[in-house]
Amino acid sequence: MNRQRSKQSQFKIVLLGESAVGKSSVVQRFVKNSFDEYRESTIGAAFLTQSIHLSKNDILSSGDNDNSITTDTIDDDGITVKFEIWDTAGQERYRSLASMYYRNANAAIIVYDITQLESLDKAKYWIKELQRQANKDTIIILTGNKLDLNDERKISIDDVNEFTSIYNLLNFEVSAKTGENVNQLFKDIAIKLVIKNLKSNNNLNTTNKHSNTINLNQNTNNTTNDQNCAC
Amino acid sequence: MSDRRPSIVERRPSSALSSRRPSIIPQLEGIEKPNTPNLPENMNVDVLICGTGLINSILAAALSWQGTSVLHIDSNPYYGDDSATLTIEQIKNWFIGSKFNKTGFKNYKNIHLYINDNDFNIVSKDYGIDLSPKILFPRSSLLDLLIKSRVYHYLEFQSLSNFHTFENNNLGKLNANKEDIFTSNEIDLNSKRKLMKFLKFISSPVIELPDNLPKDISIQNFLKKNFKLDDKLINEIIFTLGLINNPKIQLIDALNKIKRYILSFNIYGNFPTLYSKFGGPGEISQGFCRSAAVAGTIYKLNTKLKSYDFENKTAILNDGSNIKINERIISSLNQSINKPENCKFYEISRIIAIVDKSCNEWFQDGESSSIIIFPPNSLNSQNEYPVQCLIMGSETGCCPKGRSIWYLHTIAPTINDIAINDLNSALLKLEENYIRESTFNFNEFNDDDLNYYNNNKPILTESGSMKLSKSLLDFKFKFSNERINYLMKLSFTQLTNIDQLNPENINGYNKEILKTDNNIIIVNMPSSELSYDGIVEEAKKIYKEIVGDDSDFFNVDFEDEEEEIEISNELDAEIKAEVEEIINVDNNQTTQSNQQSEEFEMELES
Repeated sequence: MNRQRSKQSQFKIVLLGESAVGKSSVVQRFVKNSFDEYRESTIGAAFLTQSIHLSKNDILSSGDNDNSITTDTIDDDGITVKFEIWDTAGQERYRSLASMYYRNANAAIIVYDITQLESLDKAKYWIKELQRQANKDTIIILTGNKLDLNDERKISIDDVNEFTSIYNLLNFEVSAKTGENVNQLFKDIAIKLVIKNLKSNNNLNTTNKHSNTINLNQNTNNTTNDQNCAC
Repeated sequence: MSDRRPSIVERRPSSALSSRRPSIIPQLEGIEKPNTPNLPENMNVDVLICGTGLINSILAAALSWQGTSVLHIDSNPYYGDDSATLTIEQIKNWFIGSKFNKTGFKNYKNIHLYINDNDFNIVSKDYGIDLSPKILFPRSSLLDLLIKSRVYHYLEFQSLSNFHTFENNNLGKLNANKEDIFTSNEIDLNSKRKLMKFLKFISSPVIELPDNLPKDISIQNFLKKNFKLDDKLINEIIFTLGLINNPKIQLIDALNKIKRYILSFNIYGNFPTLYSKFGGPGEISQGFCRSAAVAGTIYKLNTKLKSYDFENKTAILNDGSNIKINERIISSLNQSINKPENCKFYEISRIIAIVDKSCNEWFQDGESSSIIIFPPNSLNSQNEYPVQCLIMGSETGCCPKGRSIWYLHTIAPTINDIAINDLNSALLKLEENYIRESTFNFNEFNDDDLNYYNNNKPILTESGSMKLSKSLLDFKFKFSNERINYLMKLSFTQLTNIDQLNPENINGYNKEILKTDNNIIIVNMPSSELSYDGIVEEAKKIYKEIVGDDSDFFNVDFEDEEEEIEISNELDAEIKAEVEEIINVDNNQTTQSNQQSEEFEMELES
């Protein structure tokens, strides 16, 4: 929400999936590095921001780089990616997410619970919903949560691989509880989005669409505490 | 978050969550026809709100943050109800629903829809069409609430500077900004002085009317007698600056409406109004619903109230759920099961057209929207009431490049087709003017006929929109085969339960609260007011009825407190000082205006 926006890449990520699969927990782990066992549903923070830094090597060595991005394309300092992460605020429960939610989403993390067979089937509904409502080029990442409960696993990674290859999606397995793979998930998304942007316009300014936007809060002096704001 | 009252989600026992989860679902089921989970059995809420229109959505958020448990439903598959922003497909469904299938109250009539998808490839979701479009004054209660509630985080706002007035078959832009007035070649020095005198009068913190004023003097006569303004300026001030749609408005109300325009300058930049990107009230409704959801409101679209047993306080929804209502039901009129007694209907007529032109000629540089006002008696239809138009270009996010959406409306009566004739007459004038402006060939004319402005780009006035000088007015342009094609044209009459022609109903609302005989509170339908003014007051009125007091309306302690916006009285003083400064140096116009424009350079978010 401030001038720093143009100095870094900013992307909008939305979370989707059934209730109680741990959507908010995944974000909480990434943003605040915390986990609340008794989190019942999305409370309070429906809009979080977190930045992630990518080194030059992160980008160049990524499997997504088909050598079209060279060492000259990127600053030596690397690139800072700022995520604006939208949680559902419970509006997904009765299939009542607003069109605003999907708009201009650069990536969608669809979360299922690897211990709940039906949660993967429900995830398919959200894929369809995304295809209907979001931009065509929204990156979709099917993410199995509760990797810490591997013993109770009902969904095998092979089944998911088969499914994601048909729909051309990315997949990931994480544990919000232990933190396993969570940062890697967001880092991978960041690399994918950065490379996609570099390829499409050689220009990291994703904020073009904001250029005419008036910040309604510009009258106030306080624009500092933009991180982790609970909106 | 620890200081916040427990929301309904926090209060709900865990058992309700797990009991909703179906046991086993066969492979791939739920893709074509997703199962929407049922509401919990024996659910009870403090307040049930039916319809997700803007007022209802503000109420849901306000009540929810206050600690009231709210279930918010809408019979449509989208948010916004009668103030929704719709795609083309949704417009088609809305049309069919409103015209044929509608159960309950018909709140629309005379609906005609034309969609030309033979000649044009129309991608439905590229469009966001507002059923009741609105613009936002920076000095307004809704803007304050957007900041206080932080709902503005979910929205994007853009500036809208150009307010055109149609007169003598031309579109002219009124230079209501003080520095513009002094660079204008159109207004003579004498008129400038008179206009500045009026602006000074209207900018004072409290408007003080002269003592000897005749009782019930109209705004028109007041401007004529007390400020000696000419008819053209009077029309522009009342109908374009004031956005007044009822010529019978009372004097003090009219002055307040004109004042909001003047005071809204230079709050965010050198422009008087804003609009929300991707849609108006429909988009802002979604923002407030999201805020309400964060505070614990439960949302279920595609759901409506079927019956309400007032004695037992039990509501039955069309999905079969039984909801215990601890306090009240609030409903928009068109989603209510009962019609309130003594409810009369009044009319607002609208045309919404999507055309195959960008209309950039009508927009200020860097903007994508403008207002065009047809004052009374400016049209061939001898219109008694003004026709207000809002033009939205592609940068508003509401239509693709090379297209624009034209919204027209009037409160003129529909009897004898008066309203639709006024609207069609205005639509024709828009077409004529647009074609003349966009196809005008400057090489055909002597330089004497043209003014040069800014970057040596010749235009016929300094306004950015063309006004033909008298000698050119009769010129027949040779590009007459140029025409405007309509991708969509929708005309309809929207009903409202408040008399829009009664000047006592400021902003098209009144102070009463409408109830059905089983005590459901009815929210008023969208009014004819082009700005958002009056909306927050409507929400507060109902909030007070339910909570008993509106002092804690959105009185929320957010976790990390942002400094709230303070629009202080200093601003009034500032504007006053500016006016005086400009008056003092009006001989030195050019230098002054350049300085001013630099000072007031619009601050955009980078």
